[in-house]
Amino acid sequence: MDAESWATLPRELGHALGETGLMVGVATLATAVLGLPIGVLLFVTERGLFLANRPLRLLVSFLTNVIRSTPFVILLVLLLPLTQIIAGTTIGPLAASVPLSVAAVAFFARLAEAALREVDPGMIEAALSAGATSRRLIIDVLVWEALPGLVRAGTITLISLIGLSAMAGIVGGGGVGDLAIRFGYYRYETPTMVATVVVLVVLVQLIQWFGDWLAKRLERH
Amino acid sequence: MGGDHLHLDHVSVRFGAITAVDDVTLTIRRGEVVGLVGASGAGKSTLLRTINLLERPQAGRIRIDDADIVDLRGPALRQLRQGIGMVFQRFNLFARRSAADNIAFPLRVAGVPRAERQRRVAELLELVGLGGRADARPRQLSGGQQQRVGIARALATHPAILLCDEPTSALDPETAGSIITLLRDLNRRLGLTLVVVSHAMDAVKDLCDRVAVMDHGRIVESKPTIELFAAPEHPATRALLRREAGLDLPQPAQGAGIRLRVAIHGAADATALLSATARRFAIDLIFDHGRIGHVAGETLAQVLVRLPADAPVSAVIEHLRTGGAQVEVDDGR
Ligand SMILES: Nc1ncnc2c1ncn2[C@@H]1O[C@H](COP(=O)(O)OP(=O)(O)OP(=O)(O)O)[C@@H](O)[C@H]1O
Ligand SMILES: [Mg+2]
Repeated sequence: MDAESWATLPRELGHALGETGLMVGVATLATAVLGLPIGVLLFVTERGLFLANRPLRLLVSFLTNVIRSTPFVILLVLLLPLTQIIAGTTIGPLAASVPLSVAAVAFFARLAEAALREVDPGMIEAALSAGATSRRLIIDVLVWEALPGLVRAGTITLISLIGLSAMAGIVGGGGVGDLAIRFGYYRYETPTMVATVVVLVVLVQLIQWFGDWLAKRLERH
Repeated sequence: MGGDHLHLDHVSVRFGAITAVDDVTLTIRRGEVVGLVGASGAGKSTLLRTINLLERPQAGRIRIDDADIVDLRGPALRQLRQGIGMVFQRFNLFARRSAADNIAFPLRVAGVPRAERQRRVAELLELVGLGGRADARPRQLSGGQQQRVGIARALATHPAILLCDEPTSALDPETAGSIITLLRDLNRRLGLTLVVVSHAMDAVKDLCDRVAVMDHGRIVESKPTIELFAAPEHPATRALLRREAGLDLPQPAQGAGIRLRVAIHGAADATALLSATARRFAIDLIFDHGRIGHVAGETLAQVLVRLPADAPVSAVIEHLRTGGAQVEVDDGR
């Protein structure tokens, strides 16, 4: 460990944080835009529910399970063609965002489905008997009532994303996790590695605190 | 008032191999309060839910105001449901919304403008006696207050029909009584047609003009409430009544003699008739059990009396019947 390493660490860390932010940010956006609707779809197409559709549910359920059971590194490689189409490149943080988004969407969709399942079916019945449209029922009853649970699901997803993003180094995605692996695993610079891990721990802890606080607030509201 | 409001014509609902509602025909007049009673699993809830098509029957027709509703779908179905209120056993309030927002929900569904909505919500809160609790969340309210919110929500869009599925089953007897009074009051003031499901006779006896008894998906007996209590015919009705009225004796047919089950309107009449009967035939009437209660606003006396073995049974029965009593020989069933 030399003085030069210590001097460049803050800059490297700052840079890595930016990359992590980009990857996690894009994946979070994708989760909100795609993961929630897919979670809703998984729930409302279930047998006996108001948009029951067995073939569609089976298909979506199967796809999310395939994504969730594939190790992320393999998903990263398998999705290279898709990444090329969407990001225009297969290396760098933006490219890494694509497989990350796919993984996060599938992961969150399942958690969201579970959160929606917690909504008392009596409320669905009350909304149906008031003549609500499916759209209103989904937005004003299901999602609104499940909001604290959805926030918790989002918190878990976000934290998992930070873990997964460490592997984005394989495609040159960079990020804090990748920094920790490079310093600690390849260069044996233990103090630097510890410093980056500390940054990761603090980051995860902050997200957890904020998520818990928000969910509690929504519950009380 | 008057005139047919709701007509179920040979309605059947099946869930796979289970026939939950079996060929039910029932006509309900405008402004009438009809009870649907029966044992658990008899099909009461399912039948009730066909009226706003939460359950679609596999067979039969349902007419409301002479319009057939069974095939309604999409916007027409939602329109129908906006015109029918529903009250639930577990209240089914939206947990993350205030009392006022719960009541406003059907109004938003119906596209009522905001200002009009607020006015109507305030009016409804007043109507159900919850004037000061607009901002309370359901969990901050007692069971009885939650049910009041549920009723206000069901009434928000001025429905002509109110469907109630066990509206008092989750409440203590006193609160249940106040909800029954409220429903009765709403029926009188607004001319609402009420269909009330209950597994307990007690909940319907003060509320309903007429009671239909369900057993294994069928309506086995349907008559004015007082008559149903005074002269139950079907074994399922008797079983329900006996369980509730406390007229079941610990030991069947104790002692000698013939036991009669007598029901008479009016407590004073009952005493008078029974003592007149005893004098007339010079017999001792042994009272095994009895109860005087109020049914649909009338007094009903129900007694189990034992006659001496040598009494002229058919003459006694005849005499009691002439005096206005419903009489049957109790065979210990
Ligand atoms: N969605 C459903 N799927 C399958 N079976 C059902 C469904 N709803 C009701 N049933 C069955 O239909 C029958 C009638 O049920 P229903 O709920 O109408 O009875 P109930 O008279 O209201 O009973 P309770 O007093 O217990 O509420 C029961 O055998 C029940 O198991
Ligand atoms: Mg029921």
